[in-house]
Amino acid sequence: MINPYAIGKKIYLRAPVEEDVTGNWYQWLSDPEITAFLGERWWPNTIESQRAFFESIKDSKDRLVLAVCDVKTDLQIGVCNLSSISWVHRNADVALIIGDKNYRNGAYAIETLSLLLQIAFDRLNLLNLKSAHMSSNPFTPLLEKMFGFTEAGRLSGFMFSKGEYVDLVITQLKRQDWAKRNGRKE
Amino acid sequence: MNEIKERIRNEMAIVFGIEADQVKDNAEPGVIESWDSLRHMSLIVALEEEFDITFTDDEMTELLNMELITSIVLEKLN
Repeated sequence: MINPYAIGKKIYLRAPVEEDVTGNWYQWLSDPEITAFLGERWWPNTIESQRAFFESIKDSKDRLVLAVCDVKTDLQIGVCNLSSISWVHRNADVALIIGDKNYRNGAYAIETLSLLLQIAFDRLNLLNLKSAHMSSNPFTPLLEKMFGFTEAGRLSGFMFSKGEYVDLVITQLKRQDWAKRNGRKE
Repeated sequence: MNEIKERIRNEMAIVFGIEADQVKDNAEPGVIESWDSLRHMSLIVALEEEFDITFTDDEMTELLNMELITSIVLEKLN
């Protein structure tokens, strides 16, 4: 493992490095299959724009971006992040992408979110996490339900996806609910 | 144990869209063709509802095949 920040059974999370910019990362964000349900990825991604993003996050303290890597091979298979971190309100937005199609069997997304929640609540001392997904997305609602996210509201017909307008569903996970689910002190 | 295992087998059959007798003890992704990411997550949610249990985050990362699923569900029910 290279500079692991959080270690799971099959994957570990680490800070992105310059080499990731020219790896597979930027291509995932142009792939229509991978970006099908993302809200802000309608323009083709490039190495240049990926590098600009990498530079923007290097010293950020309101956005924690982590590369998702295979424990056995060190291959970067995805990326996850806590964004819009508010150190006053102690909340953040959560998101993840498993970009390598050989790893898109569900188990890697589950482990990634598990580690990311531990970071958010145990290490960064956040109290609330927010997520959002298109109502046409079949994957994210299941993943969120598994981890105890609950629907906080929805914006009707807010997003355009695959030729139709769909709702944007906003979900929330409170630290106390996460702690209870995992037998931790609140 | 057998009754629990049969209930797990039935849930897997429903989620994966196959007959229960096609869910063998060695069931895992690759062995069951329809075991994809969406159905993997659906199975975890279905098991929680069927047995009225809640998996911890760590347990969810372990639910990778029939043997592990049975072991974890039995442990939670006991």
